[in-house]
Parts: sequence; C-alpha cells; structure tokens
Amino acid sequence: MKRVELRPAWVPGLLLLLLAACTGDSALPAATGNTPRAPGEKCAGHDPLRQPFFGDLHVHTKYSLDASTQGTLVGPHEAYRYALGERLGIQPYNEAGEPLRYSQLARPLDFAAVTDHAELFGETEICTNPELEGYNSPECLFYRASPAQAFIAFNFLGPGLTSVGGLPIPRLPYCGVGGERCIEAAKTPWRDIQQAAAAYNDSSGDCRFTAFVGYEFTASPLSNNLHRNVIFRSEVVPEIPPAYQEYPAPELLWQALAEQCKAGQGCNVLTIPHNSNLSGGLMFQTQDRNGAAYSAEFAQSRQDNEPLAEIYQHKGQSECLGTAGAGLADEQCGFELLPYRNFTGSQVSPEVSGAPLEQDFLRAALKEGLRLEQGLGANPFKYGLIGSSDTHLGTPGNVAEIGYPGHGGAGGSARNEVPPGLSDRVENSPGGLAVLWAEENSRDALFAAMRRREAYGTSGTRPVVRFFGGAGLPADLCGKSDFVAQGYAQGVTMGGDLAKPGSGARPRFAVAALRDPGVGIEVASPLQRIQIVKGWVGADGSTQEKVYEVAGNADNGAGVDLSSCEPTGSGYASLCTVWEDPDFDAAQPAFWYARVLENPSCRWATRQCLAAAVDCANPDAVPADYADCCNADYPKTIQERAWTSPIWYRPASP
Amino acid sequence: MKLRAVLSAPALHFLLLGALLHGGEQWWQARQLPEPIVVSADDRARLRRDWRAETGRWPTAAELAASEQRWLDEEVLLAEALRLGLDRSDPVVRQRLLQNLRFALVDEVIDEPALLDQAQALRMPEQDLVVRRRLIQRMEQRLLQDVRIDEAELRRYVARHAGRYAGGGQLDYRQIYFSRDRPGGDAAAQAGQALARLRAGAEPAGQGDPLLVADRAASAEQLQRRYGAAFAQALEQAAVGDWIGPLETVYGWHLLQLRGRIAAPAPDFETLRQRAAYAWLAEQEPALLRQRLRPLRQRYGLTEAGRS
Repeated sequence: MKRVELRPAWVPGLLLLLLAACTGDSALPAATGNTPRAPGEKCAGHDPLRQPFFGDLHVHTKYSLDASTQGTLVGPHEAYRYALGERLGIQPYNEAGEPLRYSQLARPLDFAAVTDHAELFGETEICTNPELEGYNSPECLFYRASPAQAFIAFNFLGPGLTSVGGLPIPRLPYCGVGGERCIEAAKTPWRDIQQAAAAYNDSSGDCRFTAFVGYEFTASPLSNNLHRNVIFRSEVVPEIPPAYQEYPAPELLWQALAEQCKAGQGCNVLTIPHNSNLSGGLMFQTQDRNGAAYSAEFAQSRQDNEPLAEIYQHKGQSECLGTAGAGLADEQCGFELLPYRNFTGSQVSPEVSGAPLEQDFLRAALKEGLRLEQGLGANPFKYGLIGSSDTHLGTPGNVAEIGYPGHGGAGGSARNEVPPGLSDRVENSPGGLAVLWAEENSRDALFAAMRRREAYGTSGTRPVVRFFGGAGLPADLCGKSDFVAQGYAQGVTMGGDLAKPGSGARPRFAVAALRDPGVGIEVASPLQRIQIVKGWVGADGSTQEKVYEVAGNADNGAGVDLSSCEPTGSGYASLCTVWEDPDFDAAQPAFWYARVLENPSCRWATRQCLAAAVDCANPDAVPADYADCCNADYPKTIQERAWTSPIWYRPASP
Repeated sequence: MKLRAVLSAPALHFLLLGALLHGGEQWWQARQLPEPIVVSADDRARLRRDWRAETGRWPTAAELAASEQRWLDEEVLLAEALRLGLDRSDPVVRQRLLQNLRFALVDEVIDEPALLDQAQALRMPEQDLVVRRRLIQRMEQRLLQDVRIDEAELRRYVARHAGRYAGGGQLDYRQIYFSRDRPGGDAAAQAGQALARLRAGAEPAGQGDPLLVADRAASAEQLQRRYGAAFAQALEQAAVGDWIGPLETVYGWHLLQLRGRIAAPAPDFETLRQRAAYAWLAEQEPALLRQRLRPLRQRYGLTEAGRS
C-alpha cells in the first residue's frame, strides 16, 4: 500500500483520483533523507540546542481582494515557490498575461504562511476596509451611511452594475456565506490555500521548508486595525475560516476557533495581531467588546490564543511611540514610524486620522499587561515578537531595501504598467522577517517555538540573536564554546519566565548576536550595538521603562554617504555580553527584551531617489512621483534591527 | 362587472393561450440553442471604462480585446451555470439570493422557491456580484472536476523539478573560526599559524573562537545564506579531509575541513505524490480550463477569434 494521507478538509474527488493513481505494488522504501517522516521521527538536521529559522508569516496573494484589485495574479502555489527561491513574475502583466516584472529572493526562506483575507464579501469589504481603493467612492459613502438601502440599490437599480467604487468585479471570492458551510466540493480559495501549503511543506526527513496553512482575520471597525493572522499547526483546519463578518470581535474569533479547531482532532491554532500602530486605540484596550473590564479568564484566554505579535512589517513598527514617560528618552522609537493612527491616515489624510497613540504600541501593551496581571493574576498582553512582510504581491520574504517593488498593501494599482516614481508610499517599507528558534524545520517544531515565544523579529535582515536570562548565568559566559548549552541549563531563553532570584541576587541576561553576512541585493551592515529594553511596574503601581546600552558602541561614527549609499565607518561582526540588571527589585513585575541595531544603511526610498537622480536642490525639476524624495519628514537611512521576545519576571504573590 | 366580462371573453383566453404557447416554444428553443453571447457596444464601452478606472488610462486595442475575451468567458460560464440550475442548488448562492430578497421584501413572507423565482425574474444571479462570481467559480470547478492525474506525467513533473523536491547534496564540514575582534590582534595571522599546526597533525579542539551557530551538514545554498558565497564555494571545491584557509568572511577568518559530501537522494516519488499532484494541478488548471471552455464557447456562438 502506498502512502496517501487523508486530509479531512479537502475534496474527496481529488483524493479518489490520487488513490486511483496508486498502483499498490511496491513496498515502503527504506527510510532515507527524503522519505516521509514517521510521527515523532526527527528531521535530518535536528539540533536539541535549536537553530534559527527565518520566515514570513504574513503573505497576501490574489485571493486577497486588495491584492487582486491591484493586479496581483500570484496565487498561494506561486508564493510558496517564491519563498523556496524560485523566480516569480509579478504584476503588472501585459494583455497576454505575461508579467512585466520578475522577482527572486537572494536567499530562500525556511518557512512561510500565506495569510489571505478570509472575509467573504469582497464587495462589502471594499467599502469597509479603508486599506482598499474605492473606500471613499460615492458608492461606498452611501453604503456606509445606509447599508440596507445601498444593498438594494447595488442589486436592483444598478443597470448592469459590475463595479463598486469604480473597481472591476474582483475574481475568486471565498466560498461560504454567513456561517453556511461549504459542504460541497467546490473549488474555493480556502481549498487552494490548503493544497498549496501541502504541496510545498517538506514532509520528508530533509525538512527543507515548512508551509503553514493560515489566513487573516480582517477586522477594521471604523478603519481601526484589529487584524490577526491565524496560523494552523497542521493540515487539520476548519472547513471555513472564521471571518470578521460572522465573528466581529477578537474574542469571538477565539471562541469560534476553539469550537472549530479542536486539539483532539489534530487542529491547533494561534493568532498573531499586527499593525497595532494603526488600531486607533483599540488593539490593546483593556475591556472586552461589551465594555466590561478584563476578567482573569479573558486575560488568560488572550495570552493563550496570542503568544506572538508582529512588531514590524510593511506598514511600520509597533514597538514604541516614545511620547510619554521614560520612553521619551528612546530615540529609536522614531524608527519606521507611521505618522497616523489608523487606515484613514493613508486613505484620507494623516490629519483626519490623528497622530499615533502610545497605547497602540507593544511596549506600552507589555507594560500594561504587567499592571493588569497584578490585579487579575493573568497577563493578557504577554506577547513574543516577530516581524513579517504583509506583502500583497505574493512575494514572501521580499524585504530587501534594494529593488523593493512595493508591497501593494496601500500603494496604488499596478495592473498594467510599472507605475513611475517611488514604488510605495514613502512612509511604508519592505517589512521584516519572523525568526523561530526550533530543533528542526518542521511544522510541529516551528509551531512549538511560536507557542513558547522563542522567536524574534527583524526589520528584514538576518542577524542571529540569542537571549538568555537567569541569576545563575556565569558572568563570563561570552566566549565559552558552550554558551548556548549553559544558557538553556542555567537560565531561560526569550519568551520565558525568570525563576525568582535568590535573596539579594539580581538576574543576569546573556545576549549574543551574529551579524547578517548579506547576500546579493540583501545587503546587511555590521552590528552597532545591543540594547536591553526593560519595562516594569513601580511600587506606586505606575508603569516604567528604561533602555540600557549593554554592548557595542552607540557612537561608533558609522554612517552613510548619501550621494552613493555607500556605508562609512565600521561595526561589529558579532557582539556578546552578560548584563546584570542594576535596578532589579524582586517585588516588581518586569520584562526585558533585547534590541540589536546594525549600522545605518540607505532606506529603500533613498536608493530609488538616488537611482532617479532626483535633485532636491532644484525643486522645480523634481518629478511629482518623486516629490517625497525631498520630504524631510522621513529619514534617508535605516538602522536595520532585531527585537527579541521578552523574558518576564513575576514576583511571588504577597 | 365590466372586468368580469373582459376576463371571461374567449378572445382573451385565445390570446393568453397563444401567448403561452409562443412563450413555451421560445423557451424550448432557447433551451435547445442558447442565445449567442455577443459583446455589445455598451459592453465594450463598459469594459473600457472599467479598464480606465483600474489603471488610470484607456486600454490599447489588444488589451481591450483580451478584456472582452475574458468577459465572454465569464458570460459563458455564467450562462451554463444558470442553464444547469446551479443558482437553485448551490447553497451559497441560494443563501445570498434569499438574503438579498429578504432585505428588499422585508415585510412580505414568501416561501423560498417563490423568492428564488423572483430573484431569477430580477436577473439577480447575473447582477449580484457575489452570486455571479460564485456561479462562475462553480462552473470552472465543474469543468475541472474530472481531471485525471497521470502517474507517468506526475513522475516527469517531479523529475523536471528535482531541485524543488530533492534539493542539492550536502557538505559535511567543520571549521575553526578566528574572530576579527579577538584579543591579541591580527586574527588572520593567528589563523594562518593554526592552519600550519593542523596540517602538522595538531588536534583542532580548543583552537579558535566560538561561533553562535553550530556547524552541521548543509547544502551549499544554505551555507551561502549564513556565511556568504566565498565560504560555500571554498567548501564545494575542497578535497575531503584537507584543512583549507584561512578564508575571510564578514565574521573574520575560517579554517575549513570538508569531512564528506552527502549526495542528494533521488526524489522519493511515493512521498511526493500528493505534494506534486497539488502543484501539478495548480499549474495545469488555467490551460485545462481554456481547453474545456472551447466547446462551451462554440455552443454560445463564440470562436477563439480575438484570443491572444
């Protein structure tokens, strides 16, 4: 009997065909590198001390309406092949359907998840998702003002109506309506997404690439972003992805997932919020949808469902705003900061949106989580940190500053020609990567890493970062060949909880980073320094934060020659230190995370402006499409970086 | 009473009967030979407007022609879906149509079949965007539902994509690393001295500096990701057992010993069957769909003319 695994959510017909194709005459081959792994069998490169795997957990393809309306024809299959390193044609296309641009990763990814918007009624979404073109069309204004009448008008009065908000009929919607289940074997995007993940997930002993089944839960009430990426551990997934229309609050999503994705049936799931920076004060609000304060159960449920958050992606960082308290002293909070608080900022104007809010950033949420935990006994905001791209071109991991084609998430349509000028809004960026420390590159191992938050985010480069905490860590750990083994044995790693130090002892933190060598257009700079960011709750109940410089040199003089984008000055190939928290108070809950900064390099827009020979000294000669080259509000350089998941400390109950 | 007189007039009955027969005949004929689908001047103007709305410019003649053909495909699929009654049987379409009508006819209680009749009379399946797309999608799926995956073809597919399914061979190696920042200065010279000692038979243990990533057998491509191209290339060209170097990378200097080459195993077809089948299907579907649309297009009076 040959091995054809049954995938419960998939079309029986296809399986029958596959079964029919079996000849049933050969014995199982001997176990070698690329034969299937038996349950529990280790991958060829298994390492109990774990290895860093680089990936992208936020990828849109043609199945996302906002991608398809911008001319993206790349589907999940092509997206995974791109992640594997294959060359891919991307939008725009000519009339024969041939792509006018190509893209290829200089370095393949280790894992990826296609996370298309699950929302079912694309037409409605145009009008309700401010990320989309057409949001401010007269039709959509009418729709939002009186949805019922607009519904009728769209359906009854429109003479041959084929567009809403000036957009053509987008193809390939999701199947299923209002909780109706797709019982019939229909060719749906959700099925295609599952098949693509199966087609490219390496289930052999080689474990070269992991593809997760996922989708995006796209909640944007009043243009405030409450989006979550939903990632499944295995091929066992709900028949229909629970979407915002049916489950219009995060807690309803978690309930639906609890009902439709049961561990006993092999289904495991987690959700990853992103762009809290654009949530208009909602992402980390401390009450449920009915306005009730968090209960212990609610807080714990949030923590259990959401071990990770995206700290950085295409639409800016969500680390910190730096407008209040001690955070004012952190000049790094200006890094890739979008100047508005919700999607209205990019769709209408930053003024209408309003300035970003401190409470929408993860550092504030991590602190608030500590404070809530004091009262509730459970921390709702216990987030580990990752980055991802949020590409809308179906190009996972395309996060280099050089050759950035835009991600289309908020940019204009490029259906038929490469638009002139900057390839994206000047405030946007190529986005980042998720890094997971796991024993091997398999779904189970990577998912377990996400669950225990042994993860970090980068702004697109690939530094290797280890972070351990524990009062028992040797002060001379750096330079030891068993740094990692001792780190695990004597402490906890990123995502974990510090053991209570002995009386009078202070916790130590061992942090080591190895620079990204860079390959091809994925250039990387030497390291400049490592910082440890601490947040805690003071004796008076107020939340506090402090940034410590622990390794490297903030004043190393490294810079960039803006006339050529050539870097100047030197940095470090690797950095390592064991740092003891001088301000530790065993009575105060706290978290610490490491931030690793590279030397500065040219930002994507600076490179494009340079290539176009834009001369800001002569404003009249600057083409309109390149006007933002001379916009002084945005920096010319970027300090690529990594943010580790925090290590938490919780004092024993008094 | 006038009304009753009119209603009972045989002439009216005759007319009604005639109309019914005429209508029935038309309907029957329509069933036999569907009305040809054509691109009207209005359609063409709309497609041009859509194009402009989307791209900000008017389409070229070739682009407009491609756009028309795509639209005709959709119209054919939609007409077939309606002919097969999918608007009655598909649960998603049914629910959407009922939902629409209950919005409109909020106070009237009408049973589902009557509501669906009304939806059809209003040509709602053609006009409602969600229903339309769903019906087109269902038809596409019907056209593709009996695709058979030929074992030999699938094996050829796997062979053609050997890189994807089996990867390259691996290099098993070890290294001694000398950090650029190591105390005592001149890491390159220290590496050179260590190499001389190794070649003279010294043990590698205890020499050099620790690296944050462990050495394990890896493909040349994976080594390039971590250490850069020169590192991977040096190992690929090394003789097994020899210590080579010092090789410079961004990290410092490396002494490398290739311990062995692990050949890439041939793709194991049994393991890959399902993965490859999904990939193959996804690649074949557009061409298969075009092929299977051809007789349908003919049925609706369309040829392949104008297709690019």
